Amino acid sequence: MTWKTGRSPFASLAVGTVMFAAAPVVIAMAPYEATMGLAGKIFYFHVPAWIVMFAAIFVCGTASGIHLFRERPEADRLAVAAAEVTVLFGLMGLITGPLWGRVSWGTWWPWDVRTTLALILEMNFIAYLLLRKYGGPGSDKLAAGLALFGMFNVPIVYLSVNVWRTLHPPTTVVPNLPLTMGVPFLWCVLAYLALFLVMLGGRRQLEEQRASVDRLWLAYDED
Amino acid sequence: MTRHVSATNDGRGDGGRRRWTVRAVALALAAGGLASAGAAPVPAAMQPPVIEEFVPIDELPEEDRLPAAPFLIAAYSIVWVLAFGYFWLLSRRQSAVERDLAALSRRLPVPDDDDTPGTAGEKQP
Repeated sequence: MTWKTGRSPFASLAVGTVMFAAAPVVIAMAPYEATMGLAGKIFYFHVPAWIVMFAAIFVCGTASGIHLFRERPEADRLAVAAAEVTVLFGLMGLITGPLWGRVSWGTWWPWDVRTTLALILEMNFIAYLLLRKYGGPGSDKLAAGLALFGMFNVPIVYLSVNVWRTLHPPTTVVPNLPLTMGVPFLWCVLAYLALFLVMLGGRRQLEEQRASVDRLWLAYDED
Repeated sequence: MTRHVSATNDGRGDGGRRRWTVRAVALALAAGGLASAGAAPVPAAMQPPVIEEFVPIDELPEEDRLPAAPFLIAAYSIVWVLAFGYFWLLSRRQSAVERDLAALSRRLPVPDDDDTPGTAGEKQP
């Protein structure tokens, strides 16, 4: 497997895998949070998943905007790739969150503003993928609009915990992490980012190859 | 005459409108009351628990103990499964596309050296 640039993704994949495999050791060295104890360490898998999901949404939304206003098919292919990765990382966040909530809050799903908005954001990008798969001709533009809508929803989801105070901790927690917790957290964010970049590159390459196959089929049919 | 009738009607209309407004407000209030009565109460999990005494964890009944380790391990494992499951899926899809490309390139005539990639398969004069 090689990317269009000729670079192999295996180096990035290896970095991401090694960092991710070492994450439990790094996390084990972090101190326990006072009220949550061991369960609080799910934070190191849960929050980076959302950070990377937001990064993927930013890529998808920006590429969709370029495709929508500048008619760039390559930007559209990048948007499709980013949307799929968005759904994947969103799924990680939506699964690890209830696991954490069950132990820390006593409930799997509290239906507070943050969890509900996050679920809607995930469904937004599932809708994007369904639209691309079953929407027929012209669905790329509709889907691009949906991706832009999703991107503009991100700040609302992020800031919701500050506006509507619920069970979720506010956004001040992560910037104020002590160094002993901040370093493992950063480690996990970088591991997730490395995996994200490999996934995005690989998925984009797949989309490029599919476009080439379509072009070749058209050329074959014209013969 | 017409003006008089119209004025009378207007008078009735005003009264009727007022009545309707009162009814609408009453209905809205009733609906609001019903909605607030029917709205889900704040979940018990969102209220801070009332602690009256400290209980050592080993004195808790078995069904009330919730060890965190299985949840932490489950969270880590699920992330692994999703991430590497996706890589596996990606490699399968890429193999399928490469098979399609190979099949197509066997069907299409080999382009000349000076052909651009996008014109493969065009009939030569």
